Amino acid sequence: MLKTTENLIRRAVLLLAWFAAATLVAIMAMTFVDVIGRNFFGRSLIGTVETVQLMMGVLVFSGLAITEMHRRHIVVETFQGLFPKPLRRISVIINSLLAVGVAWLLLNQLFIKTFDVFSEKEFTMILKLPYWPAAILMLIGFALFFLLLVLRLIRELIGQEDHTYGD
Amino acid sequence: MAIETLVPLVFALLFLVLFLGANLGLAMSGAALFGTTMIIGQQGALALAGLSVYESAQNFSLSVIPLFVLMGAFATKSGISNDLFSAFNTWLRRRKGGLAHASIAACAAFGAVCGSSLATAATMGKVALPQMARYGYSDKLATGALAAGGTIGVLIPPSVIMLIYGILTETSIGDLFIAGIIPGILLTLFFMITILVMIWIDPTSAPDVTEQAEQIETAPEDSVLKKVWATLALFITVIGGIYAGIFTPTEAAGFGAVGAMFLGVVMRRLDLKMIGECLIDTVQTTSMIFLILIGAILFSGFLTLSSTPSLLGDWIVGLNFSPLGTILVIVAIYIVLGAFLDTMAMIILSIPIFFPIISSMGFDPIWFGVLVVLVVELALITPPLGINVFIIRGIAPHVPLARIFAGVLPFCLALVGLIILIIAVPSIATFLPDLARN
Repeated sequence: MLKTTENLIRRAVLLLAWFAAATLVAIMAMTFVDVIGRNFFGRSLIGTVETVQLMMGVLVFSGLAITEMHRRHIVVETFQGLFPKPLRRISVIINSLLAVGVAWLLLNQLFIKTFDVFSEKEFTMILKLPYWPAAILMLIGFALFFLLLVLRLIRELIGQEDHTYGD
Repeated sequence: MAIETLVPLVFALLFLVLFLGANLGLAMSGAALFGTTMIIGQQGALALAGLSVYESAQNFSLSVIPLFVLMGAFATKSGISNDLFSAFNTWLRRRKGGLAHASIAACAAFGAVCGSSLATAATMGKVALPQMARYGYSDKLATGALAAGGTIGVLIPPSVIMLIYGILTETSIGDLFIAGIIPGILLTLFFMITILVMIWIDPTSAPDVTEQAEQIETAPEDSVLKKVWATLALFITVIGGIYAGIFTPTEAAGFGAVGAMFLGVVMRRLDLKMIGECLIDTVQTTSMIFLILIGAILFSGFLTLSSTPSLLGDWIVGLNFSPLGTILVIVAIYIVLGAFLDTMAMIILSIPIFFPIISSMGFDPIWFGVLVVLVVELALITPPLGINVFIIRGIAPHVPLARIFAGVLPFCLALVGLIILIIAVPSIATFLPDLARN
């Protein structure tokens, strides 16, 4: 059961990571075209700032889960190695509990914010792009990150080896 | 709860969970949520957090981070480190310790297209260490030079640490980048002088000049130069564009990323698979940085609500330290923090506290930014954390850690020398930005 869930989440994480990568390419291309257009042809790409703004949110939140999956988020490991094994396990579980707790609070607030954006039908100033698609993608990205934190906590509680992250 | 009790309590809790190995971004967010809740209540604290989390990522000017990281990733993957090392090797091989000098110079040049110290140390280490071992350089000199050389990457623009500093303090990123150029060149020279001194003290640490020059294989000069000029052209376009006011840093980053990818593809160094790897790597680095930035923004909010910077400022003023004394105390705190905290953690935790104090005392924020980067560089090579040392150890596992640290020590002294010089002569850092503004 846990393994199946892990596999499903892993696939979703990878899919979202490639979506983030595509978003990054779009940000790079838009910025480049805007610079070239303004400096060589005297014309900017209309709406670059607001489009990049929306895409930045998507890029950052869509990448949170893969960063967690590859354990690339920063932790201070200086003192952990000094603890005896049982104490280290307790500290790892406490940390995971705290991470899940804080991420849950932030996820809730992000959900409320997304709901507001969706119901208020807000649009960008120039291109009149709706905010809600980006907000929903950000929410999905953070939710996936939260799920990975929960899975990690479960594994630590039952003392199971890490399988999700083994690619 | 009184603010005087709350603030130390929040800091104590934060450091406790950090030392237990907590995720830095979430730990800062948690500490900020707790502290803010104690001041304005749970509902207000959560609403503020939701808004900050949502809006901090959707920020145009912050797109400078992924774009410069991507430029560095393309440059690293394209293998330009090999070209740079070959070029400097061709030019410096007739000097005693030529390979070590070439490593330092190549690190500086690589830092001009890659803003990460770790990437610089890892990439140049892989290229230069086997060569130095092959030609009889002592482990101490070779590993020490490369661990230290890697640190130049965060001083010479573009620099990820400068980006973070600029964002947190709302200081011009363009000015910060330009301010890093002269100290970066000086540090490169200081490190080269250190190599000369190390070889003078122990002549057996590097092979004989003639023997080395004859043996070392170098690529044909013109082909190597062509590739190096491409890298140089990219740097001049990006940083020169900022300096000349043609680009904003964000635009320069976008231009640089496309330029680095274009060069990689034209030189047949980058294929689609490698471009994909660079993109995924950049996505991860960006998300890692932003999770911490979100934590830092929430934590800064708590500090502002609790008036911590002004309280600390008053306290420091009450101590009757001279401005120089205050700077020295701050540098000392950074050196201590650097022994235990990751560099990113160190910057993000400390800047919201120290920067208002520095500003209120009338110090130039650009100069302070350069000083902070230099102290961060020191933290990268001093025990027990010294992450660059561990990276070099990963490339040369046969060299004991203690020997690498011994090799790095003379370079630490050179770095301390430059820190003192920058404190004594601030215009080293501020000269170019002032010139650009005028």
